[in-house]
Amino acid sequence: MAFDVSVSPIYSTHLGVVRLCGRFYPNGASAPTKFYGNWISSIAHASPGIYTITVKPAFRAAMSLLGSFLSLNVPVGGLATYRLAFGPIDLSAGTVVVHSYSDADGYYGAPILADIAAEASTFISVELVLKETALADGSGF
Amino acid sequence: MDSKRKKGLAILLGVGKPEREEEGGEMDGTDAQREAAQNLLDAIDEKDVDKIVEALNDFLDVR
Repeated sequence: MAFDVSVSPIYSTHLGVVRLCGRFYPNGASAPTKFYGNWISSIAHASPGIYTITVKPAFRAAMSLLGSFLSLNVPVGGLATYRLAFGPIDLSAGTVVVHSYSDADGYYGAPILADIAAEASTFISVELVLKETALADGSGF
Repeated sequence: MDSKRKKGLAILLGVGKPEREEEGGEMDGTDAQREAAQNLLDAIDEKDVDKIVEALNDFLDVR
C-alpha cells in the first residue's frame, strides 16, 4: 500500500486502518479557502470555532456504502494554543464537523469555542478512518 | 446483474434508477465512471481494504 502525503488524494494505511486524509488551513472568522483532499467539496465557517466540511457528492455516495466502516479519528497534529474535536459524520448531509477550542478554559473549566486565526499558517488534518477489522467481520454493504 | 449490485451502482452514480437499464436505457455516467463504480463495488464485496482505497481513489478521480 502506497503511503503518500505529498499529493491529493492523501491516503495511508497503518496497522489495519485506512486513513482517508484531508487538511485545511483555518482562516480566522472566514471560511477556509485552502483545503486538500479529493473527498472534500467545501468547508464552511458558520460560527466561532465550528468548521463544517462538506464532502463531494461522489464520496458521499461511497460513504453510504462504507458507512458502517467509517469513523472519525482524533486530529493528528495539535496546534499550540488550540484544541480540536470532531463531531459526528452526518451521512445524510454529507458533512463532518470540526470544533476548535481555545486552550484557555472558561467558567468551571468548560472549553471555549474559538476561531483559529493566529495559527492560520498551520493546517488541520482531518481523517476518516476505514477499519479493516470491520471489513473482515463481514458487516456493512 | 443482481439487484444489490444495481442498487450500489445507482447510489454511486447518483441516478437512483437502476430499473432504467431494464427499460433498455443505461445508467447515467460515462463509461469510465461506470467502470470505476463497478470496481469499487467489487472491492467492497471482496472486503479488500487495499482494493477499496485504490478503487475509491479512481472513482473520485473520474466522478
